[in-house]
Amino acid sequence: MMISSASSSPPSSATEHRTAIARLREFLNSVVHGKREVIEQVLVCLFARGHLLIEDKPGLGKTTLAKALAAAVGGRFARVQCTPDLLPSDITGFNVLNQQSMAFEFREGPVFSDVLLTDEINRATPRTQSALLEAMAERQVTVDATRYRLSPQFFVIATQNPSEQHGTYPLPEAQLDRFAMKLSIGYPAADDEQRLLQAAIEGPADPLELAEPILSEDELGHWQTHVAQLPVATSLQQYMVRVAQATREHPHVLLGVSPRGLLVWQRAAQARAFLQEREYVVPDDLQETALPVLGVRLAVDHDRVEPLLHELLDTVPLPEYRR
Amino acid sequence: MSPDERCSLPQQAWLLIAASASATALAGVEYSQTGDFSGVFGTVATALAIMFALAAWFRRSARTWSTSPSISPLILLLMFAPFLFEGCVRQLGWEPHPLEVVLIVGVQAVACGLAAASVWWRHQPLTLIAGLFVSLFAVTLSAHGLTLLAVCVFLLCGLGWMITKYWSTLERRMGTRQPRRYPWKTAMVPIVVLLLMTAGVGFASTDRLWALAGWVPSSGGSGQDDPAARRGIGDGEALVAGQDDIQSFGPIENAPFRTSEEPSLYDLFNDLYEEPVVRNQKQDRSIALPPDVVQQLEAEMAKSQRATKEFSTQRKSRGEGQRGMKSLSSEALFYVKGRSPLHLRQDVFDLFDGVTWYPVPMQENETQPRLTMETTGPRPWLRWSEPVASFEIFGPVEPHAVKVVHLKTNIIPTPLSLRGVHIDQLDRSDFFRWAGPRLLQMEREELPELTPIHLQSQAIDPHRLAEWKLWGVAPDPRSRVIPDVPDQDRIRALATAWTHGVPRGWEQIEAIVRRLQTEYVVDPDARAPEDHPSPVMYFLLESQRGPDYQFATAAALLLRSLDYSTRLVGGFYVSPERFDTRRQHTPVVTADTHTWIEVHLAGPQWITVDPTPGYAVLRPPPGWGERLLIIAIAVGSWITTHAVSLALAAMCLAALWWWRRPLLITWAWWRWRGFAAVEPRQRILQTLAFVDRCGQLRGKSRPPGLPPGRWLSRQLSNEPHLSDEIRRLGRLADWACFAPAAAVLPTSEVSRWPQLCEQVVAAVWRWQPDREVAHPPASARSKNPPSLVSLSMGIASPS
Repeated sequence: MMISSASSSPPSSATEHRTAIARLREFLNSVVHGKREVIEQVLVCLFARGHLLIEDKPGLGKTTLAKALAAAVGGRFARVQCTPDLLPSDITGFNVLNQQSMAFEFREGPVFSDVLLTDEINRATPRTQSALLEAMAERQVTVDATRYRLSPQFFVIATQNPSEQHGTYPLPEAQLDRFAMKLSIGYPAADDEQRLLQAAIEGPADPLELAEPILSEDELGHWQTHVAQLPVATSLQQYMVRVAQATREHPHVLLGVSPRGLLVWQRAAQARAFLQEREYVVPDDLQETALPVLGVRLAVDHDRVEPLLHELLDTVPLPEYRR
Repeated sequence: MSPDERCSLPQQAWLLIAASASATALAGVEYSQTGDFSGVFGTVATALAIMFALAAWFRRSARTWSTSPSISPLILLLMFAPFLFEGCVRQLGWEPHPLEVVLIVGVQAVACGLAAASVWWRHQPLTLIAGLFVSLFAVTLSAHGLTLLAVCVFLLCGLGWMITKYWSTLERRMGTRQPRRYPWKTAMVPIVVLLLMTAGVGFASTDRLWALAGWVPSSGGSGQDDPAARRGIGDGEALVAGQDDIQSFGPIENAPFRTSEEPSLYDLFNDLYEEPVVRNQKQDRSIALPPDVVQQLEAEMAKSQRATKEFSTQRKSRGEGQRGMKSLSSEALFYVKGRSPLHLRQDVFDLFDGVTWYPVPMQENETQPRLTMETTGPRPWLRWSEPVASFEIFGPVEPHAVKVVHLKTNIIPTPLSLRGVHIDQLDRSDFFRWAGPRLLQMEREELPELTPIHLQSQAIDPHRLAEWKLWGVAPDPRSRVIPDVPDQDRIRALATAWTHGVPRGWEQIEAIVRRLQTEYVVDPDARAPEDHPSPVMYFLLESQRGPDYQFATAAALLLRSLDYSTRLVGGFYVSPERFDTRRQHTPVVTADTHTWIEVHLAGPQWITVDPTPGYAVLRPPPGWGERLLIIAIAVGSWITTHAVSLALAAMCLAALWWWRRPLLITWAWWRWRGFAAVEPRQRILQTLAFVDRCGQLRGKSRPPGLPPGRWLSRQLSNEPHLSDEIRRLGRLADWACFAPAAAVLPTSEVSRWPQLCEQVVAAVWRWQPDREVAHPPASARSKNPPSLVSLSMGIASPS
């Protein structure tokens, strides 16, 4: 760590986390080729304790990325393939009658994992989608009036296919707000694609099977807590408020950034500062995380989100560089 | 507290400066009245210091307050503070202040109180309104330069406040920071006008400036009498006396006529020009006149001598123990309202024997126009009928008014082409009679004191005399007499030489006058030797310097030798130099006693000609085109006389404008170098400020939403060897600005950051936005700034 400051982590752990993060980054890059920026945002989302929505075409590595992440953080991995006939209980779990004890027993659903991959989430019915709501927001599920706690590191990676809209149920704004970020992976570059082909021949059949966890659950929890405590200058918080107000008052935006969105943005900026081995947030952290964090929250046409956010970030003034 | 309730620092700064300016304007009023500089400005400075301290405290504290305090009622209580103070002052017997001043000080106190709390929006408009009220009051009461300057500053600050307010409102409504384009070019128009007006107030002639005040009508007085009130209509005792303010024309129009046993006007001439020399030796007079008029002239001369009203041009020199002119001129004889310069006639002399001028007494059988009373509206005017030579040569009828204070004569001082006389309530023509050629006198021993005498006259436009061919067609023989003086022929020769090639008419008269005005010198104390037979010949041919009556006599003789009819006129010259700007009138004092001549036109019409240098004759009021021409000529003349200075100034300004960017960058560089902070954070931010400033001056301002590191790396992309330094500076800038206070400088930068600042500043210094840089950075590390020429070469146009 370049700059020592008051933080909750002991000084000796600084080197450890630097090493662990470098390994984590390297591992993910070895699994998903040529997508360093996307992986960086995924890590931001992970350390910000937020959930991730990946919107992209099939076959671009969404599932691979999710499984690699689950393998890297050493947690339990579960996957749900959403279809219109998927029931909420298929996700949360359900009570079954034990014939021997003649008592109902709760059988946990896939949400009782550390990393949950919800594939093609927009194919599930709204009822099923809403079942995820409580789990994502409060990290708990309620079945038959009984509340069950989920893993503290519960991390949802949802995917959806933007091109096939027939027979889908677009996520409502309330649920979109539960995601910290929305990312697109995109096609790899030609060189990366060629390396991918070569790795399929020379590498192991399934590299994830051989992967050892890089971060334990406790370590991840510790660093997530540390990220939440990184200081943010008042002037930067005022800048965030100005940007949020600008989104609310922009004539082309139906729904601006909510206060919860601001909190998520701040947390994401803190996580980026942490990943940049810094103990404080700077304007770059906010601007680099603005697009994936705020983009998922603006009720704007899909293709207008990016230019609109660039326009806002260009015009809303940064804090003055003075003390 | 919502941030919306608080304003930005620049906006508050505009407001605080505006409040300070209005307070200074008010202080200027008090200072112009009392002259107590330290007392007045010490008090104001103390109050403003308190205001600024409170404003700073409010601004700092407001961040931590959840709600804004309701302090407006407390601020309004400040209104009563000056009244309490004034009560104490009056109780202690100190010099009281007028009520209006106490009231306005209260308003200013409220303005200062509101300005102190101006960190909150809602106090700002009222602050400016109160300040505007105070500024208007101040500028109405005082023309002191400081007051006018302060009011200008107030107006400019108000303009700045409105601009920032506009932006703030726009940003709050839109929620985004809009690109700020300050209307500098548009704003320069009112700023330049204000500056010109300020310069005009400071440097223009006060008389002409205040003559504009006549455009604004004024009301009467309030009728109240306050011992602390200033002098003015309806206030104070000056009204009753009315001796030094001709503005009191209205209220005392019906002042009682008073009589006096004081000596006549001629004593004034003797006071001014000293006693005439009484010569014992007799002189033979031989007047070259036709025989039929000689007898008549001799009789008139004898009558004039008996009347002891002759005017000798041979006078004693000024003695040591005599009364000085200063004491004589300390009190006005009368006041004149209306345009000046003006020649007011008191006596006319047309017979000259070589030394002495003799007035021509009225002939009993001489026909004078009959005086009648004509009532125009409620006012009775004295009129008379006379054939007017030509209406084309006259300007419009102009009003003047005369109020006599110490003039002990019954001859009304009037201009030449008089058309009417009016005294309030006086509707009887038998109060007036002719005393000489167009000289009116009242049938009293003296003119009524302190009573306005309104006059109507017409000035002659000399430009319209170019085609006048009637000169001397109806000559009065008395006014063409050339005395038999030695070297009489030389006068004619001189006049002929001066007018050689000049056609007869006004041009010849102008030629004579021009010669006298340019080649002769006015010297009130110059006297001819007492034994000299003819003082005017001594003046004209030998000394070439003398008092005004010698100029007039010489001009009269020269013109007579060219067959023009002339006569000498004594009276008063209403000098525009004496115009009283506050009271809008011109006092006439003893020193304004003057002598000039009149040249005959035709019939009863004469024209005033003043050959004395420095004296002008009233011409018809110019039209707008002519005024503009006069102004243009005056400006052109001023520019011509100051051509070298102006050219130098223009060149300096042009050079400053041309090199403004290099100069400003150099200044920023010296400031960065000279005021280097020791603390790393401050020094890094100073470096960043320098970089931003250079960007602005080179037309590449950093966009508001772009961090400096990214911006600089884009701008200096043509210096790839500096990419690492730029990235480091961006990181250090983020650390300096956004890291917690406990975060120390990165250990890798502890010893390197000063060098980093130097490197980046040197790179920015030689940064050429539109050109490729091929030089290695070796010279950039020099601590000496590049030369101005090399710098200017590196600064390209923003376009």
